[in-house]
Amino acid sequence: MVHDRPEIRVALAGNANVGKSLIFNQLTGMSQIIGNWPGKTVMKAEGHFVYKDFKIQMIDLPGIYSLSTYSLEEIVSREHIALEKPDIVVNVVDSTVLERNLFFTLQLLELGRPLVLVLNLTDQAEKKGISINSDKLEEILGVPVIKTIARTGSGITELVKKIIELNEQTLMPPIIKYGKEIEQEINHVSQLIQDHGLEYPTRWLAIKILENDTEIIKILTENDKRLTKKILPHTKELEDIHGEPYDLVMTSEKYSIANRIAQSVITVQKPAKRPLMKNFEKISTHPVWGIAIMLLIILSIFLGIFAFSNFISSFLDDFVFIGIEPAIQWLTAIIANFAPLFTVPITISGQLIWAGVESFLGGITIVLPFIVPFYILLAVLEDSGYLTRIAFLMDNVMHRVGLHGKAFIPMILGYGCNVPGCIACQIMETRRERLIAAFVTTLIPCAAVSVVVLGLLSPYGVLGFSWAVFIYIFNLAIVFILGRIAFKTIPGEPSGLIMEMHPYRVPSTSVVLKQTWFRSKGFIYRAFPFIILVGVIVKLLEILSILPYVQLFLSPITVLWLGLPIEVGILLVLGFLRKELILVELAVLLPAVTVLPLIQAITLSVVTMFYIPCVATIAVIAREFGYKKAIYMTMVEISFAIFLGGIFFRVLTFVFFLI
Amino acid sequence: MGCLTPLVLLMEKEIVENYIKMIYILAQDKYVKIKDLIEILEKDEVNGELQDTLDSLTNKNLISIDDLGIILTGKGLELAKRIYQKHELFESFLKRTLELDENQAHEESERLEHYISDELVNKLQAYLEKNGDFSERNTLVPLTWLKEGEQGKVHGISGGWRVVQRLNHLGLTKGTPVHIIRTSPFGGPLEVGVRGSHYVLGYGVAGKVMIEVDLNGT
Repeated sequence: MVHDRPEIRVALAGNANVGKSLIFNQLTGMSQIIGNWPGKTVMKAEGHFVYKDFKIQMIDLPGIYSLSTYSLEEIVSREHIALEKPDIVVNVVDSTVLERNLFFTLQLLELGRPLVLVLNLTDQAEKKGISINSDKLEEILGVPVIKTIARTGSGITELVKKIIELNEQTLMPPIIKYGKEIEQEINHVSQLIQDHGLEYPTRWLAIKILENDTEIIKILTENDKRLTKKILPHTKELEDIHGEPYDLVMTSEKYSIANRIAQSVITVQKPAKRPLMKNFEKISTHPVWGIAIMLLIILSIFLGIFAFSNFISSFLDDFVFIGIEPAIQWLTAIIANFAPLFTVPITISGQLIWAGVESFLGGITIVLPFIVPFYILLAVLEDSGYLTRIAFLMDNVMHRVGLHGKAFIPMILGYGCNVPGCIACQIMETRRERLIAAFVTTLIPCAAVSVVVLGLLSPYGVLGFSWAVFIYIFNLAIVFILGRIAFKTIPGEPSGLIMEMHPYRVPSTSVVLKQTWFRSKGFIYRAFPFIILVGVIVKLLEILSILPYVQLFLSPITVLWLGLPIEVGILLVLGFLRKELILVELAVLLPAVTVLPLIQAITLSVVTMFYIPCVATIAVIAREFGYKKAIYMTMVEISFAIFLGGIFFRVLTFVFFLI
Repeated sequence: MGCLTPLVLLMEKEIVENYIKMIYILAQDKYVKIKDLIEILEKDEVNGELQDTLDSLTNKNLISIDDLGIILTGKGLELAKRIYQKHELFESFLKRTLELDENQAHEESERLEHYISDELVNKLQAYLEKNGDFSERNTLVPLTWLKEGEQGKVHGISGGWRVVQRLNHLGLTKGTPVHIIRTSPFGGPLEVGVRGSHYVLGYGVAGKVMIEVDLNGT
């Protein structure tokens, strides 16, 4: 009976882009729960499956290159393996780059859990002329080795059988030994820490102490100050003797071992020539043609998404609204008939509820058809490897803002919607860079802003269009200037680009869909509550007739400084909630004015573009960086936008006067 | 002044040239941050000697300092290249011809690089080339100096611990062969091959990796 046996707890570990997630998807399929590690912004994927009598619970750890303290992903992974002590660790390895992957394998073995090595991407290895003797590898390493091609599912069943088999054996994994001297040191430190009741595996802990691992030292010090006082001078002495940090010494040793193993199990033949691929590689990273291709691809993506989303939008619109709206009105009418006393409160609450529902539906029909294809195309670019080429091409330019090539991606996303743009800032490695990237992204005009700007200026034909183009270019210049200022004022050091470059690959459907689902879910959870809240608030303001007072209150800014009609006050408040509302409400509040005078159109465009991202974006920033920074950013951008708007108004008036 | 050059002047010359050489190794003709210089000189803080030396270097028009950092002037660059080449040449000579061990050869060259005349260096080079002892001329250069298709071995990585550890864990350990797959203009990133993997390194990061190049044939 399935329920009689305990579950086998498995952790999937390996470098990024080795096909780990594919294997995970194939095994756990629909049972997957994707969320975050508690309290951290690192994706956690769990799932389970049954094979014969066995139930296997699996966690897909993030793709990482090492088990150091370089990133949160690394720390989360090693904590999980060291403390949760999964029954089996499945180490998925890229057969085309065995040596570096083996380095990670050696690190994993140090954590002392039974391990199965999976040689994935065997088809790719074959194409490169690489063949690996898995029996020999199994013999040398002392762990079972399975060859797989995750894409086709080949070898997956063998893997599952091996997991079950290994679990039954309850064999401890082999200990890979370093040189004599280092082993002596490890033993020495192990003895010192042995009886302190620490949950981490002793040998691993000893190695980390020797490597001066900051996290471990911190944990040890919290646990027992005297212990660290005893050990640390010893490790310092070792470093002085060796002349370099112990971490580097250990790393070198591990790589020597990995190298020796790789050499003895790999045989290379001449690979098949792929001139087409080679040429495309060259062109896509060419300083001139590469950028041209990139712009072309980005442009097509945007146009494609706009066209597609418009189509789906109108389709959903008819579908949703034709049915529901009359139904609610009918319902309200009935209640009004039967309980006239309750009419007013019911009408009001009915109106508010309807506003909420309407916003929610609006979110689904307008926002989702736009966001989901966006995420799909992003996942495709990511999985195919093209994003690394983009980072390569843009690294130079991004340095001017103190960021590196990867930061270009959130910016591109920002042109579609600031919410995924800001979320994408997570790909930066340090907190500081995430903040700068987020700040820069919020200055980028999203699709809603573009709709407003074009709506304001298109009545002016070619002239209007030229002004629109000018404003966009001006925006880009300001983005770089403000980005640079942020770079100088936020404390900390910039880090440089270090990124693995994979050969182009055909993106896998399951990985793309999974990523899209995870990100769309994230977007819905973060943005939708605000979209609904906004709708209700707007309705409330309308019902309570507060709006004229708001207008009046803001008039010194809107009329005197910005030279805009007094109604703009409300527009700005609404725009804070959702940018498109500026255009929508403009038509509502100023029905007599079909077109704003050119100067006003330009000024309003500029203000709209800069003044703050919508509430949903601010919510994302608050979640990532805290409320203080979010509020600060908001204040800075509002002031800046209004200041800029006023300048534009005066300069333009002057210039037009001259003409 | 013959052979009675005051000791103080001699020491100053050494210090000056060491600093110039360090700045050159770190960044050639680009900016160096003061903290990076401190780190590579292994000083614990910005103490008096550092500040005095930097002032002296500025006065001699060998460096200029602004808020982007320290940069070698044309004159400083020339001096740095000369010292560097003298060191490399002499160290190779000591190692290969006189068979001193690496550390000793390095130490001696550190001292002597400041005092060997250009004439002696030229004669030495000619002698070595003639006698075929100089079969392998290895120079240390930053990774950014290599062109597409060239290769070398990792000698060391300078910079903050985060970068050093990261690059090491990715496989750039001492003695590892690296080859350049692609470069990009205007200080753009490099694509390099290490242990079968391909990495993209930003220009600044690549500049921190010191490579031993075999100049005679590849």
